Amino acid sequence: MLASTVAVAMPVREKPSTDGTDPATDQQALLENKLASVLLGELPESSDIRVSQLVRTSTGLSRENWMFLAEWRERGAMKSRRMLLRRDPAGSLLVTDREREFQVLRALEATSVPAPPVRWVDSAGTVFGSPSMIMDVVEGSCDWYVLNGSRPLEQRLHLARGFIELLARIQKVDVHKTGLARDLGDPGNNGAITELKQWEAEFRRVQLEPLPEMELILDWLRQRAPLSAGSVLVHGDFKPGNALLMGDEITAMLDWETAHLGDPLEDLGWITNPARAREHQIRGVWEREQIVRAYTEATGRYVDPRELLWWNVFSCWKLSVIILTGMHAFVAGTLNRIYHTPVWLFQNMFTLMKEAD
Amino acid sequence: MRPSITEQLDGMCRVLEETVAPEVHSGHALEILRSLVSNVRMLSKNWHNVPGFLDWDNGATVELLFSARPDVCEALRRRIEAALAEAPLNQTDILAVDTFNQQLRQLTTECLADTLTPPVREKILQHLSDRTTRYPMRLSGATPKQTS
Repeated sequence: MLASTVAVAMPVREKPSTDGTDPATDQQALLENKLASVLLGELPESSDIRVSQLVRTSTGLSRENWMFLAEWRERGAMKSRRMLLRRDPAGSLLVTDREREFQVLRALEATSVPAPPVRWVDSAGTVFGSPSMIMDVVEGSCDWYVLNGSRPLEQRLHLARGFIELLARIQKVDVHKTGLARDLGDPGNNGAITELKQWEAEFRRVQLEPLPEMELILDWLRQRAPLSAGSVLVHGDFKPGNALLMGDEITAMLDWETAHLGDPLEDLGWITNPARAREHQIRGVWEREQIVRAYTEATGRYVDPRELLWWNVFSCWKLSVIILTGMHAFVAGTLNRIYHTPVWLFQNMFTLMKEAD
Repeated sequence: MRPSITEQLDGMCRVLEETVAPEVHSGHALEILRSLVSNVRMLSKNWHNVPGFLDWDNGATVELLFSARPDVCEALRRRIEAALAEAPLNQTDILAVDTFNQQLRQLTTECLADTLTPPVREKILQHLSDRTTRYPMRLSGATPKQTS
């Protein structure tokens, strides 16, 4: 099922076959033709569609991202756009549903949240061998550690505030009007326990060995799961590493594959998680206190410190499950990256739990 | 025994970096190659710590399980005693030592779900915390820093 993709991904071209054809080039041409015929169905007023420059990008740890150029004729004029085929790999850090991600992105098109416009989804994986979707490429660059990069402090603080304002915008999305409450399901005030149950199921699925640390922390989380104040759209992996920037502007928030409705503090717990401080915080000037204050100003929500601490521990636990998923896929031979038991996260969680108790 | 395990692992990194990497023209494949080299480097640095770590962990966990016996249910107590009686005699048989480690950690998990007295529970927590700091196989995630 994956053979055709692997051939295209092979960086070193295979030797030409004895009949003079190049198998890698043939596979690439085949995929480009498939993409062109898919787009023909999505662009009804178009003709002469051509797809070229198909290349797998190194971005994205959970899905295969294939960038390409689409060119077509529409009402007599030639148009072109860079697009992205996002496809489920054989093994991944995350097992998520393309249809669901497509629904979220489609819903966001009617809001002020910047996200890539989507064109097409095939959740059954009949066209490209596994579930896939096509979206437009949004201009911008991605820098995981932009808040601690080489930009002047004032610019980095401006960006940091921009991320919190964007989070507030995401939380203000009308989940009923956009259809997200219907498509994603609303856990009401049980956001914490719902997420915990979902990630526990994933933990049980991928666990390779006894992990008393994970069980102990899971038990701690279960006993202290807070009731939510309400239900909002949660990104699920809100970080600079999932944002595109043009200068000081956030042009798109990417990777909505774990988006769901849930507790307003969930994404904030991810952001203020000490294990991810290098991505989200600027030492001395943009730490937990400043982030929480900016969040309260942007949303009007009071943040209960104990509840936020619970979400910090949950964030580390969820991240541990994601890493264990990667370990599982590597051992199963379906992922080409090696992951190890996330003991560094165990230590973080023990420290946070002590602080909470 | 030359090249030693460390020399072989370091040599593999050198060959992959100097000979293979320059010929890889796909950014995606190059990133995967770099993450594999990082892992081999980590193995080169830490492989010799694994037997000592397992020996220490097994010794400490045996003591903890022994002290937890009075607190746990009859069935679990019997399984703990059976496991402790079957500890591998040959500490250089690394596969047997690793299997024993998994067995002990499974029993630890079950003990934690049982009604332990606070001091025993606290001792187990302390050991799990110590274990995380001594764990020899750790590699910080190879995440891409900047992409456009």
